[in-house]
Amino acid sequence: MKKPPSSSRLFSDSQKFEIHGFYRQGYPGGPWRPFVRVAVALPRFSVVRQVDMLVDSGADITALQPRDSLLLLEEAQFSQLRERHKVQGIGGFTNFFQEDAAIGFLLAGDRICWIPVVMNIAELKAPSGILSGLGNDVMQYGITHLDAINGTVKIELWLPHPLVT
Amino acid sequence: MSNMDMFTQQLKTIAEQSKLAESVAVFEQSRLYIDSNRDKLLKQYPNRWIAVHKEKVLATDKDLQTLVGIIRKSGVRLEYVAVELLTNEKTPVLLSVVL
Repeated sequence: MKKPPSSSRLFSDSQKFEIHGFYRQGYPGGPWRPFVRVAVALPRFSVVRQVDMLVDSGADITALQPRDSLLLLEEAQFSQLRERHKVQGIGGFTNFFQEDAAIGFLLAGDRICWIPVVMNIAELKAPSGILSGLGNDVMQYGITHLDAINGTVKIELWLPHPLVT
Repeated sequence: MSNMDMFTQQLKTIAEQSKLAESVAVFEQSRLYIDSNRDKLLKQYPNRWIAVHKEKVLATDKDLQTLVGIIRKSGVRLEYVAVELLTNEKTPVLLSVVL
C-alpha cells in the first residue's frame, strides 16, 4: 500500500488506485478532450455498461446523457426513474433523474474498483450529442492529471474503504 | 453482512451476469475501430450516428433512438457495441454543471 500525499482531506489508511484515460477529438480540427472509460452500474435495474466519460473538472455531478443511457436502459425503464430535478448548466437548465449507481474503474486482472454515486441521468429529450461526464463527486476522491501535450489522462484514487470486486 | 458488503456483492453479481469482463475487450475493439477509421467513416456517414460491433458497422441513422432500436433488434449484445455521432460540424462543449 502506498502512502497518500499529505493532505487534511485524506485518510491515512487510504489505498491508491491508478486509472488511465485518454484524449479523443470531438470533431475535425477541434480540441482533444480528456476521457476515462468506466463501468456504470445501476443496481436497481441490474445493468452495467462501459461508458467513455468526459473528465469534467468543472462539474459538481456525474451525468449520464442519452447517448449512453439509451444503451443501458430500455426506453420503458426511463419512466421508472425518480427524483427528477433541474440542473444548472452552461446555456440553461436540464432535467435530470437521480439514481443510485456505482462508477467502476477497470483494474488489472478483471478487477473493478467501485465508487458509489448518485448518477444524474438526463431526460431523453436532452440533446443526444452531449457527452456523459465524470464530475467532482467522483474526482474528489483523488488526483487528476490532464496532460494534453502528451495525450495522457491519469486519475489517482485514494480510497479509505475501496469496494473492489 | 454490512450494507457495504451487500452492495459490493450486488455489484459483483451484476458484473458477472452482464459478462462485463468479457465485454471489455469487445467494446475496446468496437471503439478502436471508430477512432482508427474516423475520417473514412465520417466521409461515408456524415452527420449520422453510427453503431459498430467489433470491426463492422452494424447500423447508422440520423436519430440516436432509432439507431438504438436497430441495435436491440439485431441481437448483438449492447455491451459490445460502440456508438458515436460522426460530424464535422464544430460542436464545442461546455458541460460544467452545478446543483
